[in-house]
Amino acid sequence: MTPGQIAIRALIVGFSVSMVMVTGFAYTTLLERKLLARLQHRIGPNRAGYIPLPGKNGGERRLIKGFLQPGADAVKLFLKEDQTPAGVDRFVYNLAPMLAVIPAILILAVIPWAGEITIFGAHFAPYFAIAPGLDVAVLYMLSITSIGVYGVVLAGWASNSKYAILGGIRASAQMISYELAMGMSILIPVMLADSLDLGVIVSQQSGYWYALHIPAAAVFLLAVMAELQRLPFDLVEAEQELSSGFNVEYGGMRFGMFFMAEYMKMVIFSAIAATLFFGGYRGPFVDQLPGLGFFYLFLKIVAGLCMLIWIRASFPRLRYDQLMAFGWKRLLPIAVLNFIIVAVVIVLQQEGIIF
Amino acid sequence: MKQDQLVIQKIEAAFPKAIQGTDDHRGEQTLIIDSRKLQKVCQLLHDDPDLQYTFISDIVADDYLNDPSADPDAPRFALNYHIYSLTTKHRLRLRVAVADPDKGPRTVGKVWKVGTWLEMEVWDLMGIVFAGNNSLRRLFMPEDWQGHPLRKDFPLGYEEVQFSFNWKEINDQKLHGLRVTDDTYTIRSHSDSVQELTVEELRAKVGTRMEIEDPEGNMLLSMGPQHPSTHGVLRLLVELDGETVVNLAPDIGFLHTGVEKTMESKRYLQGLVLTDRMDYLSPTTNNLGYILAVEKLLDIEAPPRAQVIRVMLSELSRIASHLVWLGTHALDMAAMNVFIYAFREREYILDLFEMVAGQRMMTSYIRPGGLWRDLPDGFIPAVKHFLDFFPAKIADYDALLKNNPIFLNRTVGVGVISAEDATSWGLTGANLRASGVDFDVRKMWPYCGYETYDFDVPVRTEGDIYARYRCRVEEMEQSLRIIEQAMAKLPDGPINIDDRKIVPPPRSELGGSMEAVIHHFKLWTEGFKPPIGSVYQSVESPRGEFACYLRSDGTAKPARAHFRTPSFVNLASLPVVGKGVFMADLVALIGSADIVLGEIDR
Repeated sequence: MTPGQIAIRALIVGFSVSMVMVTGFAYTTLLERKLLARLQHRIGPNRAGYIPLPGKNGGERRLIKGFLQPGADAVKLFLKEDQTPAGVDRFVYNLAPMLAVIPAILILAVIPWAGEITIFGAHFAPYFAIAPGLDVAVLYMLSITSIGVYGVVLAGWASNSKYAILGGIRASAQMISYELAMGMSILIPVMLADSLDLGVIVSQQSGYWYALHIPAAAVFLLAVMAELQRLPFDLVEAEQELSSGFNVEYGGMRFGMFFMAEYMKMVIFSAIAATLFFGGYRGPFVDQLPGLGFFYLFLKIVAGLCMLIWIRASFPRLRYDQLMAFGWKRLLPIAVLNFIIVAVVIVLQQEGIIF
Repeated sequence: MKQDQLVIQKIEAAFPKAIQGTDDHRGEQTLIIDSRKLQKVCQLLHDDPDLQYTFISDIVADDYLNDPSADPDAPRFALNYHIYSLTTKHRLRLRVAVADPDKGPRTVGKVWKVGTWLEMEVWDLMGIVFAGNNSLRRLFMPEDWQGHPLRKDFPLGYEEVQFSFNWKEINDQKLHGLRVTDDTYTIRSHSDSVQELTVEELRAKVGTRMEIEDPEGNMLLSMGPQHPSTHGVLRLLVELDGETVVNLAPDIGFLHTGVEKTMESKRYLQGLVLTDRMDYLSPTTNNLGYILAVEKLLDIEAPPRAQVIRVMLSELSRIASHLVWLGTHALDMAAMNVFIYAFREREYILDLFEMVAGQRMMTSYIRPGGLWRDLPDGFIPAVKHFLDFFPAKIADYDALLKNNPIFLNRTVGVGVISAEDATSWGLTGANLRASGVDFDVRKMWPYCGYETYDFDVPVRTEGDIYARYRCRVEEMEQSLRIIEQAMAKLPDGPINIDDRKIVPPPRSELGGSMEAVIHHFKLWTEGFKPPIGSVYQSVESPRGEFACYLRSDGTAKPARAHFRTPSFVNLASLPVVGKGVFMADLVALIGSADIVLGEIDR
């Protein structure tokens, strides 16, 4: 393929994946609200729309009541009065929500959605992604996620509100306490697969999932929760303490963009966790039917989302200093130790001393 | 009685002329103390190893202006100090006559730490100045309020409305966000005209005399009255160094409705409905405290069946209230599920209240001389069902919180208050018992026959948030035991005393008896007139000691009604316990203190 063809294909795939993600994040909110409601003996949103199915005796079965709720939410957010509080730094205030959303979308580029596949006559090799075969994919992902925190910090700083600035400060403190551990834990799949290419990492997991390296997977999942600012690490928002934290002065769709970023990141990090540790798009018969890869990854993403939501429902929140202590004193040593052990074992294996 | 003699002897020995008289009304011992000697007498009562009056329950001010029952030449004001000795289980009232409100007695804040806080309330509402108390300020009333509303000569009605419809006026008064400039805080009003305020002016403006330690380096944060975790309209002015609380001052009164003043113009029965509205999470115990005080004034006692039902309902409302506390406390630390689960069980209890009283929250079910009506059919089986399923629910809450490492991290060793401090700060209820002081009104001075029930009072010694949590959860289990025993012993018989001057005649008699009609008419138009005297009745509400002070001047309306509401007193120690903790801990602390703003502001 010529570079031009590659670019056009990347554009088309990128556009369609982004569109799927934009609706996907909206339905993540619905999943969260419905599942939380079920966990808490409530009903959840059930007014806006449903999927009509034929029922018994010519009647109608209503599946997923509240099916159009995300759309209704979006319309509400878009139509809200666009308010800017007095005394804000307008440029940064407007920039911050974008800085939160854009990195979330950018990470999409490197995630392998399926294996080698032909769709509508177009052949995708070595795997289906917006930027397939990028051999710095893991580094790209790590660097882009780090940018995301600027959205939060700047939102806190620009809002001219004390609660917001406290949230912003917490965000920066939180980032330094989990990022290292997260990087360390990601190195385990990288070493095992001997590649920074996410597609290679997935295909190397045909034998077993890297999640069997339980310390690495556990550290990664905990760090992801901190990255996502979800309970028990949602200090940045901390509704009970900071009455919403960094986004307290935002309204309308600007506020919605922070949530867009959060829920997109939930989906994306579920996908990344699946890719790095749970075999990505791989599953039974995926070699014969590559299309199954989408389905398997989808299932793994939903499982990850459900876990995040379940944890949110059940756990109290850590305190600011406790998160720092947890990140530096627990996660990081475990991750480093694990890294050293795995590295030594790999070298010994390569030297043929053990196998 | 021996103890009374001992107290008098000790005081006489130390300060020969301090006692100006004694009074004994309905078994409550009152010593009338010389105003000038009060502080020294209090110090003696507090320190003497045989007496150890280490706990002050309340300070109540009385105004005898134009009082038909009082001697017209006597001093106009009187202060009643209700103090307890927890070791000898004895309570005492010290009464001090105050002729000139500007020259009140010396403060007792040095003897009991909570004294300062209680005196602030007295000054705000009655205008009696306590010498040596430097923190007298408006607690309930607005900062610019004129006069002291509980005085008898305070004009009623036609007061100036305290808010305006004039847009410009409103804007000038509003504080639109605070911004720190070099050494002043900038107040930005809506019209973008910027007002520069110094820290002192700001402090005056927010109505709390908080000392700001480092106005340049620290951040002053107004937390509330609209804040998710201040449990209502509590406002805290917090000085933060990073995330650490350096200093804080509570600002209350946003929900002040003047219950005590209103009661003075309501007949005793009418006043009952106001007590529901104070602690809206456990109205039954409030009703009970007030009604027991009225019954003490009248010198009557409700029949046994009514007593048992009262106990049962009190314990049910204790569980309901603790459930709200448990849910909101867990939610303060972001544990969502517990909140919803706790409210689900509370719903069931509210349904039970609806069965007996027709109301879910504002029950007003307990009446002078008994109850409104007898229990309906189906109530007992419903309570039995509750007793069957509720222990499993407590196990559920425990599963989510008791050993949860995050919850333990957040609660163990946080907000510790020592037993001595807790007593001195007047804490009651689980807040006090978590610090190792075994004080439960139900055990100490039983009412409604609590002495005949077999139950334990959970006491822990750690004094931290976790200990308070465990105390309350275990209290729920004990309440279940009490309800079970109450159901077993529920006697048959009348639910009201047979005194038509106090209890209205049953509906069935009204058709056939002229006497019943007259009684009914007199009761609803005039009410009953208790004999002259004052009583102080305390009950154990879910939040601590709820006490009601009632003074009758022989008319059908109380001359003075005062409530010692546990939340109000429990709040006093928050600035002390909250110093040096993190912002997140502060939220947990407010939750663990279990305050209800309706009760604080009254």
